[in-house]
Amino acid sequence: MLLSRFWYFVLAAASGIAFAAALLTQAAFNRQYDSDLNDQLRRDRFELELMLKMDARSRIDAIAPIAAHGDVRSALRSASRRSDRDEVPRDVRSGLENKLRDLNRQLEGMQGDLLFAVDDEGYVIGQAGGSALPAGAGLGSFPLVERALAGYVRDDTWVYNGKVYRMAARPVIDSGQYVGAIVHGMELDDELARRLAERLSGATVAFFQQDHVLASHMPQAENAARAEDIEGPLAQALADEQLREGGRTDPMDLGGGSRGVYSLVTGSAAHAGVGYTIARPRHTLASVWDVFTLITIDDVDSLPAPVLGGLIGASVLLFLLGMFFLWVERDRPFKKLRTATGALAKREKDRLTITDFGGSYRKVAENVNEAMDKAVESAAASSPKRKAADLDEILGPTPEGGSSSPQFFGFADKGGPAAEDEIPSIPPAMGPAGGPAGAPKPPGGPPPKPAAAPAPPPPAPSPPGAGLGAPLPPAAPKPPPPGPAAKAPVPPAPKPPAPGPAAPPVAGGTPGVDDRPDWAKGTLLGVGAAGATGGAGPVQRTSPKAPPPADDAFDDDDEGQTMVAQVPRELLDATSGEGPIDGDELHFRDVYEMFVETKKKCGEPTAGLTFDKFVLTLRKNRDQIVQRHGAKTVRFTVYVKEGKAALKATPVKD
Amino acid sequence: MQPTPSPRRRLAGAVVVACATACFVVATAAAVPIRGTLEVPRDYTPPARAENAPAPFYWEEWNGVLDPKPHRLDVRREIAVAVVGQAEGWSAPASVVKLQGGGLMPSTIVVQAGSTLRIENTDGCAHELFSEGIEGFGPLQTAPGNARTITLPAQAGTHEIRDRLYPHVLGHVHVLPNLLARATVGADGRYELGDVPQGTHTLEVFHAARQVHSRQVEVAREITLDPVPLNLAAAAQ
Repeated sequence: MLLSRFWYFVLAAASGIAFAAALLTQAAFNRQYDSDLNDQLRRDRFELELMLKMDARSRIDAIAPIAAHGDVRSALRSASRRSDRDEVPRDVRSGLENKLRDLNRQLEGMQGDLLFAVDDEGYVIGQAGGSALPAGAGLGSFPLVERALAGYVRDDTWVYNGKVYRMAARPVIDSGQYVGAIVHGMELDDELARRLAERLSGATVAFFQQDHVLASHMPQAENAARAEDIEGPLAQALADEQLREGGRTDPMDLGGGSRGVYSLVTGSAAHAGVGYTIARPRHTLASVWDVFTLITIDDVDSLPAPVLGGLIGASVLLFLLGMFFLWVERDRPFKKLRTATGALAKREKDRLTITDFGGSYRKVAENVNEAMDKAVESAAASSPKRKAADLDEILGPTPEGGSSSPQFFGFADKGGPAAEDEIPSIPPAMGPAGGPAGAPKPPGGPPPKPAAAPAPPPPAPSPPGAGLGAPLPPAAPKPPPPGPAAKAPVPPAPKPPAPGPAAPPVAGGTPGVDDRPDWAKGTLLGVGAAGATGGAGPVQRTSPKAPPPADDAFDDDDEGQTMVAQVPRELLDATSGEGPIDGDELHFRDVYEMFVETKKKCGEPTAGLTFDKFVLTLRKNRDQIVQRHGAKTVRFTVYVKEGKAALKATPVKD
Repeated sequence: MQPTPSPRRRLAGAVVVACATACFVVATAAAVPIRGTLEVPRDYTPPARAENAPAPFYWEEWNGVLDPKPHRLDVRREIAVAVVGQAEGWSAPASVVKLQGGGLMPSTIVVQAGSTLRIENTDGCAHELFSEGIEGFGPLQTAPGNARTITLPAQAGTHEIRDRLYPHVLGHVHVLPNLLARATVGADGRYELGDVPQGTHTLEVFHAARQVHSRQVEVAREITLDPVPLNLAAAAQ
């Protein structure tokens, strides 16, 4: 799993780096955007200042014809010569004002909202626009007028009776002397803001005085700053040290997601807190995903084809590489484990071969094997039937005559009185308490279990010599099969070459009512079935030479069907001549032959089922059972389970 | 029907009136006018704007036709002459200042401590005068043709008067505890102090926020003082 883990690490690292990069990119983008926006606003302010400067120049030049007009000069010359400065001759004033209005109209776009003509001391002689001035009013102390009377052209901004004006003034010269000045004013209004904003594409331009907006123009742009957005931070902007000292603020955030710069106007109106604002919408990334909203198809098209192809190819390649690693390190061994466990479930194997697996799967296989072993051990340990000390108590006394009836293995029905008669008594020497097994239990001793009571006799008398391990007669009559297993003809059992009493076929039984369980009626081959039904049931042959089972057919682990009983004495006597090993070998041979025969009857394949392999399995299971139950040996029987040949192991206690 | 005053009361009233008249005649006979001349420097230029201060205009150019006029000190507006001293029962008349031509006339103001100052707006535009050093002199709007009266502090001192709308409007109020008389200065520098009580007093000349000249004068009869040369540059230093 090293490659896969490394791959996951690479993926995690790559995704982490990608996400961190996205977050950092968002911050960097916003910072760069703000920086660019700030620069843009500074450029806007510079451009607007240039426009206002050119506008001032245009106004100064526009009033030149007025200052040079003969009627104006004449009127101001005569007014400057008057003795009482507080009084202006009526005819002079009216004539001058008419001329001023005419000249003002001729200015068209530069027509002034205020237009004054002052004498050489600054007293107002005539005016066009604005409220009427009281007699003797003057403008001579205004620096604009003062400098114009001194011979200079100049501009300024005034707060005049509640309005803000862009002012311009020119001296009036007549006969080689200064006789007065023309003072011209245009109001700061929305029209000016519009003209300026149109030059600054996408920017909002507003003029303010103190904490309120005088005039503004908002472009037709998304998130464009409104007058309210600009008005909000005005108090903060006016308190800004940079504004008071340098005349402008740094770009600052406004309401409505825009940013702007505040600046005081050039002129004396700045003293009254008159200024302008240039604002632009601020498009920042609120999240990393917002970057996709900014991407256009042109951005994609602008990517070089090799880069795009390489990006896609690399992604596919990395994906395939990851899939390959997964297959190598996970899918393939997992499939192998799944196959092996499937075979285990189908009993094609009894254990997992741990060398087939690697890494963690090997550990899993070991654990499975260990779990199976422990389960068997646990089952064996928890089953009272498998306790050697309780064998007699459970099964009852072994028949004295060493009968090998099928009920010896507990296959027969335990409830019938007839069956009880057939159970051989346990020899006194084999009692669990040292006394005869069939003798009454001493007071206080555990009562014998009903199933372990003296084994019921077979339903029908058995022929002499019939018992466990006795081969079936070759020509045993085939009774009409009551069950599937009975349909299969039982092949003649091979004669065991070993000495010993051959167990007669278990026969007999009541052909009428048979209330035994199914497995006892006919599905069990070997003990009692055929004999019990008098040839009408399935044939069971219990023989020391029972055919060996295949691995998958061995049923030793089936607790419910593993029977523990004592072996008839005659059987032990028969097998004791050559020792347990030789007798087992003969028994294995018989079991093998019967097992192969039964498999064939069940339509199961027998190819590859060799005796050597079969006997190895039997030996291993025999050894395990002997060790587990403390039995002397084990006898195997063949039976049909769910249409398949199966084996059952029976520990032989004595 | 009102009761007719008794002859005794009539006599008492006549005595009071006579005494008051006598005192007035005596005092008037003791007050004499003082005249004089101020020699105003012709090359005086106002302080230049600070270098880092933003220019209050985009364009200021000579017209190219006629030489510009040199800057002249507006003596009427910027110079104040006053006499201070001790005189029992004497007080200077109330002060009246006008907003004229867009500025204060005069801009250098001499007032008696604890007296009032009346400011009349004769301009065509509103002003919002204020002084940070004078209590109750906030930036209230004075519309054209209106006036406002300010009560001056009882302590001596000099205070600035400014306009919230126009930076060029600047006045200086000199509050003097023993003001006897103040003069109106003409454009040619001549001044006249109407009635000054007899005695030894001090003649003081002010320019903007500064006292630029001071001398003792013995007032016994109508006098014409020697011309007072004003060195405004030295005074500024």
